[in-house]
Amino acid sequence: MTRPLVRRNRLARGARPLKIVVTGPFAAGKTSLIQTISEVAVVGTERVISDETRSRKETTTVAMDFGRVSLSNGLSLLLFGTPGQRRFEVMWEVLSDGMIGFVLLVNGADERSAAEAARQLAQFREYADVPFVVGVTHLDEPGMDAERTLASVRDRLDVGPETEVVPCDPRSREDVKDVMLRILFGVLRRLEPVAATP
Amino acid sequence: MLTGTLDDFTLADVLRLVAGARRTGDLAVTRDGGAGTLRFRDGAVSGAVPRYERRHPAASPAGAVEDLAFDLMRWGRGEFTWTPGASPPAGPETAVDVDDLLREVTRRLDELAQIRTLVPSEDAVLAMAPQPPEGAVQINITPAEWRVLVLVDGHRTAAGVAAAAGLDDLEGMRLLYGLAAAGLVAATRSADDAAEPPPPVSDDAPEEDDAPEAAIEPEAPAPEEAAHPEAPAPEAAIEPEAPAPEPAIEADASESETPAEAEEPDPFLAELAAEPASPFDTVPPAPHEAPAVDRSTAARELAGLFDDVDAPPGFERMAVAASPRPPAAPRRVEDDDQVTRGLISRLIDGVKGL
Repeated sequence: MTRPLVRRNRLARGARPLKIVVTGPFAAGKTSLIQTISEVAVVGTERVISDETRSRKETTTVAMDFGRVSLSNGLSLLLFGTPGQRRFEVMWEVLSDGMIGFVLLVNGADERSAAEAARQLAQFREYADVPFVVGVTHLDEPGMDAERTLASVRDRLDVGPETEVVPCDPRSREDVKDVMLRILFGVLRRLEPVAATP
Repeated sequence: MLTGTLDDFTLADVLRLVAGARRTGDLAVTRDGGAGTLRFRDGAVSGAVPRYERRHPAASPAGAVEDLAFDLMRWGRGEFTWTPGASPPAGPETAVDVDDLLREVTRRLDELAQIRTLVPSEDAVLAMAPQPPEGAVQINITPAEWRVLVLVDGHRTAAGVAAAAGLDDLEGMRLLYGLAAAGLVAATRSADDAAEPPPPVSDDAPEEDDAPEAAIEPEAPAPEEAAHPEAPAPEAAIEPEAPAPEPAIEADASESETPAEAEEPDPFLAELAAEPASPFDTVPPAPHEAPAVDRSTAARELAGLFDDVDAPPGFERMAVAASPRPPAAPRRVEDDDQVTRGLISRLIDGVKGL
C-alpha cells in the first residue's frame, strides 16, 4: 500500500524518540523483559490463548507491548515487544520501523524456540540492518547446562562470533540493562567503527 | 441440500465445519453486499463462483477464493445453501485450506477495520483538507494517490471515488485511508447524511467495532491527531484474532459420499441444521482490558515513532507485509540522521545509571 509522504519541518515535529524492539518466539519472556525495565506500566495487548499453545502459556501478546525507560539525563528509550505467535507477525514490521536495534529472546528450555527464533531473526534482518543481541532465557530451569544451551542456540541461529548470544533473565533488571547496553554499544560501533566496547 | 441463515452462527463456523468434516459440495452464500458459491472438495475450497464479477478479478483460483470469501464475510446477515456432491468445475481448481483462508480473510477484515477509522464506510463522502498538514514542507504522493485525490470533491462517496478511478472498493479505500492519514482528505459525512449506519460488519469479525462514528468528525484532524488512534487503541487493528481451528467432526469424517447416501439424511447436514451448540460456538472475544497507563499519552508517543508519516500504528505495514516486498536494502541505523554518536553516548550513560 502506498501513502503520501508528508515531510515536516523538524522543528515543528521535534526529535523522534528512539526505540528498541524486543522480539522472539512465543513464551520467550518478551513481556517480562519490558515489564522489568519500564517505569511505566506496560501497555500490553495480551489475550487469553485459545489454541493448542495454551498448554505452554495462558496469555499471549497479540499486538505489542510498550514500555518506556526514562533516563536521568532527560532522555528516554522506548521498548516495543512483538507478538510471539506467528499468526500475529503482521505486527513485526510495524514495530520494527525506526528501531535502532533489537533484542532477540530465545527460550533456552524449549528446543522449538531456537528454530522459530532463527526464522524471526532472518525476518528482522530484512526489516533493518541494526545491531541486535540474542538473549537466552529460562537458563535457570532444573537440569539446564547454560553454556551448552548458549552454544546450541548460537548454532541453531547460525550466527557468527560477532553476534552476542548472552544469558538473560528477563526478570532481572541488571540482565535487561546489560542487553540494552550491548545494543547501544553496537549502535555506537556502527557510528564510529574503531571505538566503543561495553 | 440445506438452507440456513447466518444469524445464529457465522460463515466462518460453517466453513470450518465443512472443512472439519472433509465434505465435498457447494456452499452458496447470499449476503447483503455479496453473493457467490464456494466449492469444496474433501474439505478444502476448490473454487469460487462469485455472482458478480469483480472489477479486477484475481489472477489465480486461490486468489479468487480469497476475494469471494472476503466479500462474503465482510457483510452482516445472509443465507447459505449447502449442496453436497461434486459439481462440474467452473474453471481451474485449487485447494485452499479453510484455516489459511480464514486467516487471510481476517487479515483483510483487520485492514478494513483500520481503514474505517478514517474512511468509515464505502458511503463516506470525503473532502480535501482545507489546509495542508501542519508543519508540512513537502508532500509526495504517488500517481495512484493522485488519481484518487483529484476525484475527492466533497460529493463522491468512497465507493464512487474508487469506481471512478477504476479500482475495487477496498483498494480505493486503502488509498483514501492513506490520504486521510496524511491529513490531505477527511471524511465529512456519509452519502445519505448518516441516516443509515455503515453496513454491519459481519459476525465473522466480532471485534471489528472500531466506532466509525468517531472517525467521521466534521473537522479534519490535524496530522498529529490523525496519527493518534483515538478511537482504536493500538491493538484494535489486530484484535480480531484469526479464528481458532475447529475440531474435526469425527463422526462424519470417514463417511464416503455416494449417490445412495445422498438420499439418506446426511449426518453432516443434520449436525449443521442442529442447534448451533459447540461446533458453532466461536471463541468469545476476550474482554477488553483496561490500559494500565493513559492510553492517549502512549498513543502520542507511538505516533512519534513513525517519523514524518502519520499512520496509526499497525496499519500501513500490515498491508505491506501481506504484499510482495520490492527488493530493497534494509535500512541501516547509521544512515538514520537522528541517531548520532552524542545521543547514543548519552543513552549509554543513562542506561548505566539506571
